[in-house]
Amino acid sequence: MKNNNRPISPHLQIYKPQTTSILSISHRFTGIILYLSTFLISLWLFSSAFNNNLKIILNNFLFSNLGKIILFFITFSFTYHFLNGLRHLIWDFGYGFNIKNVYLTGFIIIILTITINIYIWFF
Amino acid sequence: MINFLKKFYFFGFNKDGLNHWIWQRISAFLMIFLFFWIIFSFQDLSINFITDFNTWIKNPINLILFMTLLIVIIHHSTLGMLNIFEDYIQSQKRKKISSILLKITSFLIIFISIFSVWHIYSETI
Repeated sequence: MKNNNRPISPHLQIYKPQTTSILSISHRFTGIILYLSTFLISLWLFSSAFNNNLKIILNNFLFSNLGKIILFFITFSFTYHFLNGLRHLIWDFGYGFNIKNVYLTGFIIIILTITINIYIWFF
Repeated sequence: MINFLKKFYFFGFNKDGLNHWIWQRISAFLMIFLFFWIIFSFQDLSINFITDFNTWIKNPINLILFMTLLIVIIHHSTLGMLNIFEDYIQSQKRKKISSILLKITSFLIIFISIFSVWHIYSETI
């Protein structure tokens, strides 16, 4: 019997979490956040061009606490996705595949992401 | 040579996995340079970003690079989202509908963004 609804690709619920798998899933997750943030960029550009009232509302929202939390998630996702993307590109050239380097670069990326975000938001 | 060039058709949106993979990387490479440019470029505006942005975009080089960045961002993220749909949506029918909706949304985002940026640029010129 043909079943079109059988589960495919990464079984996130039963896959044992490891540093490498968490980093890989985070790459996708931050990618989704960044895709959603393009809506915000588009809305901001639209308001800047056509609607001054909307622009004021949007800017006030972005400077509020909730807006800052959203912006924090966006900058965090961006730095992580950017750095991990560089790691992926290095892999595409065939470097850094041994298990020691995979963990090392993963660790460096986590540290750099946290440092850059502390710099952006507190200095 | 023609076979090689065929890999670049459709900007990664056809069914070919290699084509998708290559365009995802091309857009990623472009974004590395464009984001470094925009981060350094925006540093001058950070004091009064909201009003300075409108003057900043009046420079044609900034306009062209910013529009390119917007297109590349949406292109890269649409390809990425299609990849996620491919992996996690089980039903073929639902996958197809979601992919079409995603492409329409992405097109709308890029259309609104480019149109708005062009409007800001051409406002006083």
